[in-house]
Amino acid sequence: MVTVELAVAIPALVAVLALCLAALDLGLRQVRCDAAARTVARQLARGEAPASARRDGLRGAPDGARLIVRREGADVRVTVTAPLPAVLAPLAAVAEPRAVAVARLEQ
Amino acid sequence: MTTVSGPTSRSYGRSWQRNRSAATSDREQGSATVLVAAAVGLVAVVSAAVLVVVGLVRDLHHARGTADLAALAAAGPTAVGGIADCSAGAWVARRAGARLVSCRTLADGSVRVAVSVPVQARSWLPGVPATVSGSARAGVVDDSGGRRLGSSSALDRPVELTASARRAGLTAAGGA
Repeated sequence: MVTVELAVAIPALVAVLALCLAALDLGLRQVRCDAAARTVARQLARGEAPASARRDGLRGAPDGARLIVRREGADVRVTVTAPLPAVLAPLAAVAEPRAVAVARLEQ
Repeated sequence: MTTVSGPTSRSYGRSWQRNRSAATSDREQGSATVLVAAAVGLVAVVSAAVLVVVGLVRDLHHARGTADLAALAAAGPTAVGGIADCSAGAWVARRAGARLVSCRTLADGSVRVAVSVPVQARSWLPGVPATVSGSARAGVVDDSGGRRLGSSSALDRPVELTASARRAGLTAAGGA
């Protein structure tokens, strides 16, 4: 009987563990998105070529990250969005990791 | 069981063993569920705490990065001979979800700003502040590439996170 209980309960433990690790992964992805957005915004503000700014930013970003660059008056606004960890992907309630950086263009 | 012999004794022994094993099973029934439930609870509590810390690290990171960009925005006009524009720093901080809490020009002409970011991971953990702050310094640096704007990382050693978590908030301190 104990064996049967364990057979049911251990997958539950594994599922909880998997969710927790995925949530940790999500947090790390958010940090990496933040760093990527800041790198791209800074480089564009300094007048670097968009292609090299994009390349440098995506180097540290999570796989599959998307970059949106928008010029807003004297500022440049960079939004980086990354996909959810695979375990969390089916959960509609969890938002994708996303980061925004704004930098003032240098004269 | 080793001392019993003869068919009758052996069958008695087997039935005794079966009864004993049934009794043990009855007594232990549910014990594995309780153990695993405890383990699941422990994992959940520990990971909730870890998640709060990860959220705090993310907010600190964001505060530090936003302070950097806000300082650069505020110091922008000084690169072309103007005076620091703290409103530009405030604007950049606000657009990135932060608030400019201080902005001042230092004796060497560089600008030091501090921004605060609300902590998103609200928690039951004691000592978790409602906001975290980051500060950075930006100014004109003269290097081989000519005059250009630099921030904390270019002016001093790279920005470091301080480990001191005070009630008022965590501080991501750049160089002095």
